[in-house]
Amino acid sequence: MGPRTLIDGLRANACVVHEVTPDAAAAFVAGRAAELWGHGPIAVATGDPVLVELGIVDSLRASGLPLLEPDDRDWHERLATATVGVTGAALAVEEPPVFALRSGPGMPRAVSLLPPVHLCVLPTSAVLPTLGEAISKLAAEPLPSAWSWIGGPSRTGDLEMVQTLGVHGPVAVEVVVVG
Amino acid sequence: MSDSHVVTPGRDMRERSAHAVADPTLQAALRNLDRRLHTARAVQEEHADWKDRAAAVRREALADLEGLLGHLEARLRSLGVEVHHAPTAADARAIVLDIARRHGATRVAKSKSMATEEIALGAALEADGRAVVETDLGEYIVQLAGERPSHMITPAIHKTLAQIRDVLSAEAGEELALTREDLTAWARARLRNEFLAADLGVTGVNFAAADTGTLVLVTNEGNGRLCTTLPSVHVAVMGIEKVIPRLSDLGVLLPLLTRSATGQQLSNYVTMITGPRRRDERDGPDELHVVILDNHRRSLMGTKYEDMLACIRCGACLNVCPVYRHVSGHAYDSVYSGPMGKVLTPLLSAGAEGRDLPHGSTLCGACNDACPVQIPLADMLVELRADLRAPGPVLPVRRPARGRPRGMGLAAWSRAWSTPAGYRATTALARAASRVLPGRRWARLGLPRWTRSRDLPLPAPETFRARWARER
Repeated sequence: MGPRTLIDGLRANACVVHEVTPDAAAAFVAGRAAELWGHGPIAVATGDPVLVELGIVDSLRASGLPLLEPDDRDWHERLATATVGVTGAALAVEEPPVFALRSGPGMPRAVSLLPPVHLCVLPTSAVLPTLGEAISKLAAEPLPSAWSWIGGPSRTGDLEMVQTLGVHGPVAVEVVVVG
Repeated sequence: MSDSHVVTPGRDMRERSAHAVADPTLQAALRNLDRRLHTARAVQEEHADWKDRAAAVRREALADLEGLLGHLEARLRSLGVEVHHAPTAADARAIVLDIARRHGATRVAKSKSMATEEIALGAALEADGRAVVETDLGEYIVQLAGERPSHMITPAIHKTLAQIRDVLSAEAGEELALTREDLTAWARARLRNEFLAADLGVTGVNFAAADTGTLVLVTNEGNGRLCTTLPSVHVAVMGIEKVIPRLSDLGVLLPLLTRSATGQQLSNYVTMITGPRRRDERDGPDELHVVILDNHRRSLMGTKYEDMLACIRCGACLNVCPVYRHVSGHAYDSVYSGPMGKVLTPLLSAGAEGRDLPHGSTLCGACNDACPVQIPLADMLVELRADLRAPGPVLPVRRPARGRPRGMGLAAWSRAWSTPAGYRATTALARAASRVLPGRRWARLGLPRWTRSRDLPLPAPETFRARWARER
């Protein structure tokens, strides 16, 4: 059983949530990336330990999809044309429903920011009950240059105080809960 | 160009309010505020303990403000962040202009921030020949319209969707469709190019944790993330009061801020920045500058207005204020509007601006109830009315707050009605006077200013207590 409160909350925040077992994760993410892929490259945070440990980096590389990796020389030029960004999440909270990405080598911040679709892999082991516990946990470790907490697709309330999706960040966020 | 606003008609808040109330399009737009009328009450009902905890954390920070700022600066420097101190708004502008010139920055992407509005940074950068784009959607709309934000969370709340469509269509050079989705998609495409071209990112700071040197930014659109990820230089401007003791304090401060601001459990994006890009990272700014702004804030420390520095800029007091809800931000003719703006504007200008603002209030106290960090805004408005009575740069004398209104007449009234005998004697006198004076004379009796906008009711011929004693 996945973390119900988080999954329901993410769905209420307009995320698409998939639940898969660890064994199925690598094949599922590669398959889903192929379905979401439109025309541009698929940016992958290949240094993300979640993606590496679940075999997702390998499965994506074997898929034949046009990947864009942080070590590629033309990373900056092509990132703006990427149609999907694939990352892992290092931390998440049941309530409020959010997940968090750390920046680091092979984990650029823009993977979860510039492409219109963000495909994020979240192990259930990363889920904590409250925001307070999650922040205390990350404050106790060396901090990366950026922790990015994300609740769902980019949104605004600036047009008559009615929520509208897809302003500057991803228009769609899909979370693959692995556990 | 955030501060090159169209002057709102009217000499003072009273005249500007009259214009606002007579504008049917504005009144239609302002009904959208109803969508956030109950967010503050919901916080109170569901999480009353949060307000106590958050208020305590904010007071803890203010009690050792200089110590925490020292810790913060040391942490930031150890992370490779350049720290600048700006005693005045002019100093802050000069610091940012100098950074922009040194890097030859020609295109600046700005994320919405009240501190940069306060120092009119956008206008200063533009006057220096640099293109500045406000990237928050509401702020972008206001910038294109050549106006000033009218609400600190929702800058274009004074505009209807049709007006917004017209502003964006003029920029697009074509008639855009009248749907939120289409307008948002157009702005996304237009502003994406601005982000990719920007060489300087400017943001505010929601919280700065002294123990880790972490800057925290709260956004929904993702523009804050883009401004702190793509440009090679990031400048963050923060008031001295943004410092908090511990990163872990965010466990209560963050949800309280966003629940109070928009009703969301948490804003869509929270960005925690600890230093510039590391050597082994692909993105993030090469240089990170933090400008710590005083601009009269320190003058409030140790005074009865010190609590105002606990404000977290959530906008809840605007959304519940019966005055704001009818006149909206431009009637205040200041960067900060609503109840918090009425207090902050005269204080941050040493009495040079907004002296009439504290009078634009019914003192109903809705702001006191809405404030998530328990700032007694209505009480401060009463104090400010008295303190701003004398001309000149009124600034708070360092002494504890007094519990009693300070006008001589009010003080005498307060004393008289503090005893049953005094109450009986004065009301008997008033009844006697009302019997011999004609109605018009009574209405102006000794209180010409008081009755200019109020009626002084005629006392009943016989008191309830007298009737009760007779008929019981």
